[in-house]
Amino acid sequence: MSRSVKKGPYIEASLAKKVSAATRTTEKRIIKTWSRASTIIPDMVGLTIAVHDGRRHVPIFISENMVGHKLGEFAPTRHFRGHIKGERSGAVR
Amino acid sequence: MDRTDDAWMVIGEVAGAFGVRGEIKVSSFTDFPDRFKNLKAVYLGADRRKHDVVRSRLHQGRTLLQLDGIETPEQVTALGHVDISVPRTEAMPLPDGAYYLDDLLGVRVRTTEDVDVGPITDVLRTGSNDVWVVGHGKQSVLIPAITDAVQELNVEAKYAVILPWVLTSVE
Repeated sequence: MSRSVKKGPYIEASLAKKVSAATRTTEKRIIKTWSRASTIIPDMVGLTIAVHDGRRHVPIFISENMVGHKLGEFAPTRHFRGHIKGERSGAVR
Repeated sequence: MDRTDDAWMVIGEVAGAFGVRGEIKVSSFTDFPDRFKNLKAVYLGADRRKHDVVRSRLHQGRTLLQLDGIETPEQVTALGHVDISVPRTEAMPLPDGAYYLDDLLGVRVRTTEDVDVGPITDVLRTGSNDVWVVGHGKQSVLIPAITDAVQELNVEAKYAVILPWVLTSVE
């Protein structure tokens, strides 16, 4: 059963506080959180949030198309290494 | 031909035999789904034995290769799970600003204030931005590969310059 719309999205209180503080300032900083279950809200767009993966905090840049998803979806807890010499590409986004 | 590892790119692995004509089921290690479509030749195993590609096709989302000189499923089984490589010169062309992840390993990272952070030792793919693991073990730091954080990246010259704010965080 999905969450009641009346309650609004779940965001851990301490994270919500850090997000509102970050939106009020122009100074850039990474926000650390352990709350993987918190929902990404529009206020978080443009911030970089380091989400705990069980071992360390993985810095995730929040973009518009991530709104509505949970933070934990972007910090995998298991890493399949694949092949070190594989034809895998990346880019600075 | 150069036989060192750096001269090669592994694009897949032999996963097993398919059918009775010696077709090879491939486990793909490439980001390019059409990689096997127009291949002329592949190189198998650590000793890079050359085999011409007779035919390649997709079956239930998996690539099947028919190679010259391999005509029975027994020959495929005898190969084992060997790497399928191509020369590095035949790597797929990348758009501007993109890089191969294995090229990134060893790139030295420093801040705009000229503080050395360390070499990139791993790259995490998150579904959002890539994350560079810089340094070793417990001393390592994670850097988001985003334009707000990375001022300059030069893969050929093996250096990257990041903005210092990525090293600070709010607990």
